[in-house]
Formats: sequence, structure tokens, C-alpha cells
Amino acid sequence: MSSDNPYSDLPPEAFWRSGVAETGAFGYASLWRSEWTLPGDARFATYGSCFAQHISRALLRRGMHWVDAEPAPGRTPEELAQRYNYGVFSARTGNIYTAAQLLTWARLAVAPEGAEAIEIWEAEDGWRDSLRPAIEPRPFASANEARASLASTARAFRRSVGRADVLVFTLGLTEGWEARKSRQPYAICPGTLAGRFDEELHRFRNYSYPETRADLSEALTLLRSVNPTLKVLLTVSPVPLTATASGGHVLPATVYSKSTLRAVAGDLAQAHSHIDYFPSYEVIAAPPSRGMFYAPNMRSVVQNGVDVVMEHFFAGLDTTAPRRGEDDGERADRERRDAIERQMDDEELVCEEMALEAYNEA
Amino acid sequence: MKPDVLIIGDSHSDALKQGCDALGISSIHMTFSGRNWHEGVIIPHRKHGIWIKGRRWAQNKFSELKETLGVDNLASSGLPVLGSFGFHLGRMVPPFGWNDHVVFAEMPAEPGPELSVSQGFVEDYVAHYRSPHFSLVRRFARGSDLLIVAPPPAFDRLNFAAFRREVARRIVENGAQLYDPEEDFLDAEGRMPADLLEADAVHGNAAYGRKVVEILVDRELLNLPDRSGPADAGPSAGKKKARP
Repeated sequence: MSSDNPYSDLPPEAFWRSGVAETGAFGYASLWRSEWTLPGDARFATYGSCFAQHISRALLRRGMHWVDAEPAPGRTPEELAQRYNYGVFSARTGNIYTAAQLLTWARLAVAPEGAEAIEIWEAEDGWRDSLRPAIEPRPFASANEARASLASTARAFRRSVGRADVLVFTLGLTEGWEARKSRQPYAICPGTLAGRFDEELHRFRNYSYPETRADLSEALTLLRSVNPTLKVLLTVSPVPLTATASGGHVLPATVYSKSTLRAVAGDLAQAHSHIDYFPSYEVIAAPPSRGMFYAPNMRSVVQNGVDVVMEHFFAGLDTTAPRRGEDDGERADRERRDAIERQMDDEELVCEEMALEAYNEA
Repeated sequence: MKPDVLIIGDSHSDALKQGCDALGISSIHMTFSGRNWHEGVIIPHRKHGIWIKGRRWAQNKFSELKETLGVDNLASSGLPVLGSFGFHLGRMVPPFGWNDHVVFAEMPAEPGPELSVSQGFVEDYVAHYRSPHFSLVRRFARGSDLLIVAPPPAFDRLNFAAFRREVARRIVENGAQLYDPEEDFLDAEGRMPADLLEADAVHGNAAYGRKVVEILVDRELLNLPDRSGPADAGPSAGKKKARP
């Protein structure tokens, strides 16, 4: 047997025995290496399915620069910010599960006036928008209030893309629901958490590989029109489907969904130097992990699994390019906050003096 | 002799005190800056009605005040209470807008960086920062005639009107009477006359305080004790009387 073949010079991680079997799920080496050399203060925007929430938290914990283009109002207590879904993604989009949903947001980023066409659903005691039906704990007081909030998020989404060096997008599902007439995708099936299901108006979609790839490609093209230097890091959520409306069993439906998304993400990464794929799905869901990173329901990912994923993420990032410091938008934000603080201090000085003078018995 | 009215509040209560003085209404005045109110230095207290955390000079004043009134619980002193607490908008509203947040009702028709905030969020935000104040309102409203006077509508800054409305709503909901000078003091252009404001253009001056107290007395919102009887019969015993 000749030793001169394409496999003879490959590194250990290229072989299952040395790359997986011998290292075990906690010992993978060089699982992912980014081709990009990013500045030390590279800005990351994060969106996608619920697993994407872990990425923003991990970036912040590492002291890295996570773009928050729709932060909570100043001095909002943490618990309140969480209830209103601030600080979860780079804008308050809620979970974006499908490529079709991302395309809708990308279109809104390019033309925010498109928010006018997004369905607003009447709820029992208010209104909810069909792209983010659970974004607030209570429904909006009016359809106009719901629409204004949605439009704000659309503008913030655009800003986040404009400011980011890297958009990390986690694909979640191929299954979704859309309006029959306008083809607007929904975040959830109407009638589950909000809205009313009507077979004449709504239809189930299990987006195929070509559809998912077309939608994702168009979405990323639109986002690159906002920021031509934007890099995109795709991941696939390892969280299985809660339920399938495909008519089949949820297990093969999950594998179909994840396989399709994984293939689309990999192929786009192969095709474009500004797109990369990070294998969070593989770390959690592949056979060597034996399901140990899942909670007993075999669906939720436990913190230990998230930690392992993020270790590989940070190990593979190259952030050795020089830092750039504050950008114009950040400087303007800081200066505005400082000015408000100064004004408050000045007014408080007057108040303190008046209050003290009231005790002056001289 | 007991005073006619107990005044409790922030720096806006100064004008109310001056108004009472000008009209010969004897008052006793307890005031703290908006920052102290906002930061939870003054809190509701089961036994004493109100409590001051960690300000020795203020605690001493508080003890003296209770002694003067001969009560242990300031929330049920028997005196009508004129309050200017609960709002303190200057501490709460500006930070809310740090990141360009604007309450939906005040969003511009063609927004730029502004982020619309729902009324629901404003209600929860106010509840977070003002729950102790509303609890204090409840306590005082149960034990006395409590009338809260909203701050003079001296300026038209972003988000202030919505927060003002929400605080006012919660004050009334918690059992106090509320007088909002907005009803009587704005000119045709919706501005507060400059001659009723201090130089800082935020606080009402003595003339403003006098006008407010006159209105409160005229409309019998401020229930003054009747001093015309043979003896000091206490505030609830006498007929409501406007003085002078």
C-alpha cells in the first residue's frame, strides 16, 4: 500500500479515530478555525433561533463587543429588560427560526416602511405583531403602538447590521407558517400563542433546500447592501423541533430540518469567502456526544453543552488585528448620555439646596 | 397649637410651603430632594408611616416633627397632608431616554433613531421605581386626607408627559386626591408663565405656591381645620374652611 495519497498528510483531526474517538466529545482539537482575522474589538451582531441567545451572552461574558442596537431604556432593571426581550438579540426581533423569516427582516432593514405591511393580530386584550407575537408580556394597547414598536425594531435591526463586523445567524427550522396571499412568514402558527388560525388565510410550509438556500442567499445579499464588509457566521441550532406539522413523526422531521439547514449553511460557506459555518450543531447533536448535552427531555441544551460550544467558538476566532476603538455612533451615544447626566446633576443640585434651605431655621 | 397642614415632598413642596405661609395657613414641612425620594431613602414604614434611611440629620428632624405633632405615626397624624412626592420625574425620565427611547404617544411622525416604547413597558418601569412611593401614598391616604400636588408643568421635554400621566394615575389609584396644576396654569400656548417659576425654570416660585394653595382651599381640596371654635377641636372635627 502506497503512503503517498491525499490522506497521508492530513492532520489528526481529519480522521475519526484521532479526531473524535480518542479525544472524546470534550477533547476535539481544531474543530473550527475562522478564516477571518478580525480586530480585537470586532463587533458581533447575533440573531436566529433560541440557541442564538447563548452566543450573545457568551460574547458579553468574554468582554467582547456585542452590538446591541435596541437596548432597554436606560436604567431598566435586569428582570424587566428580560421580560420585554431586551438584550437577547442585537435588535428585539425575537427568535428568527427560518431563512424566510430572516429574509423578511432583511427586507425591512433595507426598506423599513415595509413594516406597514406586516400583519398585526388582534388579541383578546390588545394587539400583537405577527413577526414577534411574544415580544412583550402584554399585548400592545393599539395596532399603531404594535406597528411603531415593530418599525423601531426594523430600524434597529438595520443599525445592528451596519455596525457589525460579523453577523452570527443561527438557523433553527425549515417548518413554518405563512400567509397564503402575501406569503409573509409568521414567527409562530397563528392561533397558538396569538392570532387566529384560518386555513383559508394561513398555510404550513416545510421549506426545501432550494427554498431555504434562495431565501438565505437573498437575505444575506440584502444585508450586505447595508454593510458591504459584513461577514456572516452561520450556525445551526441543535435544538430539535417541539412539534412537526409535516404529517410525520417529529424525529425524522427534526433530522430533515436540521440536515437541510446544515447543508444550506455549509454550501453557502463554501461558496462565499464572507460566509463561514460554525459547527455548534455537531458539538451538541453528533453521535460522540451521546446526547449528554441535552436535558432529560432530549431537547433543551444544558449549560455544559453551551459552554463546550462557546469554547470552540472562541478558540477558533482570530481577533489579532488592531482594535479600532469607539465608532461615531457609540461616541454620539456616550456624549448624549453624559450630557443628560450632567443636566440631571445640575438640577439635582438646585433641588438639594432647596430641600436643605427648608431646614434653615436661621 | 397643632399646625393646619403637614407638607411632605421634594423640592416642589417649597412653593406649597410658601403658599401656605402667604395665606396664613400654619404648616409643618418635611422635604427631601428628588434624588433621596427616587433612590429609596424615604420609605414606607409600618409603625411610623414613613422612614428615612441613613440620614442622621433627617432622622433627627423626623423625630422632632413627630414630637411636635405628638404622634408616632406620621401617616395618621390627624392633619391634612399636602404632598409633592411620587413624581420626581427629573430622576426617572432622563435616563429612560438615554438610548433614544420615546414613549409611543410621543414618537415623531418620521422617526430617526428613536425607539418606540409601549405604554405597558412605561407602566412596569414606573412601577419598579415608584412602588414604595405608591405604598406611601396608600398608607397616608388611609390615615389622613392626602392631597398630592403634581409638579408645575414647567417644560415640555420628551417622555415627561407620559410618565407624569402614569404616576398621576397610580397616585389616584392608591387612594390620594391629586391636583394637577396643568389644569389651571398653562397659558394659551401651553406654557407655564415665566413669572410663576424660579430662575431654574423648573420649580414654581412663591407666587405660584400661593396661587396653588388658594385654588386648593377655594375648591375645598385642602381640608383645613376650623380654628373659629372655642378650642382646637382637631382637623376632622371642624367644617372645611378656607382661610384667609
